[in-house]
Amino acid sequence: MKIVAVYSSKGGVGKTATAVNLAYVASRSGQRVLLCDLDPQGAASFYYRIKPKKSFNRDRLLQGRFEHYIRATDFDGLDLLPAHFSFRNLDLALRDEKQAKKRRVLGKLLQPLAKDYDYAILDCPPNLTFLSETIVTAADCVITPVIPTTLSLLALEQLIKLLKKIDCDRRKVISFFSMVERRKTMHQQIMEKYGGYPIFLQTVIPFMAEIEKMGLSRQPVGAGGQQSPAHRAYELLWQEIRQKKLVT
Amino acid sequence: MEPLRQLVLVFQPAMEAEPLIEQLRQHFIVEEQGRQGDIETFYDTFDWRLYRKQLLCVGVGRSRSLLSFDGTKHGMIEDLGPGLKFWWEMTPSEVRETLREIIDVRALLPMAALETDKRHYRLLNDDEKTVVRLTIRADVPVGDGAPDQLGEVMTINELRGYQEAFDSVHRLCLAYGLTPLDSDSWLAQRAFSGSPRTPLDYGDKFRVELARDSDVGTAIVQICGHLLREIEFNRQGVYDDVDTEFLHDFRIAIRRTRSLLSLLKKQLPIREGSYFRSEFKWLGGVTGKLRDIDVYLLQKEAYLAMLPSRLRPGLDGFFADLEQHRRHELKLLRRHLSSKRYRSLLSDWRTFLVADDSPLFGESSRESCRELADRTIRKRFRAFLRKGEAITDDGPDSDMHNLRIQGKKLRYLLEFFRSLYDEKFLEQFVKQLKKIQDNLGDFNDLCVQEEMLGDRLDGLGGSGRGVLLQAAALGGLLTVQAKKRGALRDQFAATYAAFSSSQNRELLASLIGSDQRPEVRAGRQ
Repeated sequence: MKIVAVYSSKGGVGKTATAVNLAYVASRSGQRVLLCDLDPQGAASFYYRIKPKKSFNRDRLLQGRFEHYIRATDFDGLDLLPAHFSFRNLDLALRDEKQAKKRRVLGKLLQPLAKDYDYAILDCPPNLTFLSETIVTAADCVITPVIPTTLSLLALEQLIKLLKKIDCDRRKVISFFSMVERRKTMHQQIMEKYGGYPIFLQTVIPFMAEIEKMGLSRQPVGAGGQQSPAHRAYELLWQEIRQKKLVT
Repeated sequence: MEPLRQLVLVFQPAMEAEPLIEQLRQHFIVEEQGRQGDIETFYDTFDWRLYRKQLLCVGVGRSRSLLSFDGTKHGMIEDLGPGLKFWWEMTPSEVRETLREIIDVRALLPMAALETDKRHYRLLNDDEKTVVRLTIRADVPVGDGAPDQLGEVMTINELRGYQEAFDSVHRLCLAYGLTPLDSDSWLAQRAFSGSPRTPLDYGDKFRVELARDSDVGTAIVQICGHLLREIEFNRQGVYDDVDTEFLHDFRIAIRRTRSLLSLLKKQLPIREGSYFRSEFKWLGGVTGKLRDIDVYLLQKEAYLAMLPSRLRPGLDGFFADLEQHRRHELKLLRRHLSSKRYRSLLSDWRTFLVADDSPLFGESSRESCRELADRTIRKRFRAFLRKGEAITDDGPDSDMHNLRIQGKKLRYLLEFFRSLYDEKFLEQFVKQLKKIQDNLGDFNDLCVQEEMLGDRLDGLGGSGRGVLLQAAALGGLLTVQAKKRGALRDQFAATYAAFSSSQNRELLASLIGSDQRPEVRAGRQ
């Protein structure tokens, strides 16, 4: 099982839309996928219309007894571990663990599911904390959506810095431009300046009403039709990620 | 993780599905996802190789799916060519690989078909999230003599994390009056309920259940009756050239029959015995050439692999000629199988086995079968050892060949009468015998092949690159084969010594002193 974290310390860059749609695309190609909604806001769970069971919470997650809380989505081969409000203080719960041990917590928790899934795709909360260290340590690949704006780039820079600090392989970070609006000069300029860096994928995900509307349709863009341009864009994105060999 | 549950329930006759769906609507949002009518054809090899592995190969249109007996899908291949029979005609895929291992050289034949009508439903909760999936299927078996309709069946599939919904649908269905089907094999039972074939009606190990106190005549009737059925079973497949195993099995049944006729020569009336021996010899003879060619063609890949790649094209002409030769031999064999001689032989044989006034039921056949079996097995074992001891490292190959024949006779005897003995001793002894038989069999195969390849080489004429290439390829094969044959001959002494050991002699003595398994005896009382 490969662990793919969709992570950025900045909010509103399209992390959840990326995680939700990549998980769908991967499962469509015959892979068994577990989407883990680690963001206490629970947007990924919302998109898949899944509520956690009443008995589920942060402690159950950390005790590793969360198999029973995984729920099937409406799509073959795609299950979801729903978010819980108590996830907001996952960091606190990790506080008492030793530094190095703490970083391995998430990987260990997911280990028992390795035979059940080909991919665990993590939708991560936007912060830069202990939890972030745990996530990047566990992940085989960290996907960071970047809106072509200065602040968003800064978040990517911070991530690289974090990896360096915890002595983690920086090559596991893959980035792509998200929510791109071609008519915005700044978007164009930033993409021209940074688009050639090897960390950036060629595929970009434009700003599309279709993706915005997922909040109403409550399903991945591809579920409404395989011809959807947004779905096609996520398919290309997944293909390009797979070509990087980090996740195959 | 826990496996997901699937339940299969059947509607009682005259019970409608619609009111149940209405009841479910009181608890869930019920969405009909579509209706699908298909003809599902269930394929298997003639000897049920898939069924033995608890697998079903289901064809719908140009696709083939591999399913468990409970309908769980393992894989699917689409867009297959029409009239597909063999695994090598399929597109590379996991399904093809699984089939390759199980069906090997056998053809997939349609064994049964169902006309199905499936309705798929999703049950949603208040968030409009799917929590249970349902399918209702109605089946009509296709074929003469099949039942008109099988009761409608509902499958309920659990979705991970929604156990309560699954349980509640289950309760509602039971309360409505649906009854559970054997959820592990319901589809297999359904599939073959209207089939002219009964699953496992052919194949696997040769086994005839003889009564403990059976007399010789009755035993011959039972064993030969079984073999006759195998001959008749395979005849059409040989004639239609469905796959090479039909002829192989056909020949084995003939060989076993011949072996029994010669082993029990003294117990059979002279005139009939000699007539059937000579006629079955004829039948064995006329099927031999085609089988030889089949063996070479089946070895094509192995032959090619023996040669370095630059010599391989030399075999193209060789195999093309074999194919042509095969067509000719098949034509000849078809003629024999349709001949008066063949029909008379089988009908005379059947009459001999079943007619009330058959000499098999006369005074001379009253001897206890067990006594005869003990005696003959002991005698054959001794004969085998006598011939085996006489083989020397530099003796002629024909000695090995003769010993092989002796081994076969002994093996057939053990198989004919296996039900009279303790299974454990018998299996152990056969296992030991098989080791030496394998050595002798492989050696003989190589001799026969070498002779054929040598004849082919001698017969090459003319000049040109094609002839040169073929000669080089045949030379290459002959070299490899001769080396292998030498190695087998070298192994013989050790293999034989192991077989003729005092332990094996004692094992045979225990076997002959043994009795049927207690449960077999109990079953007959």
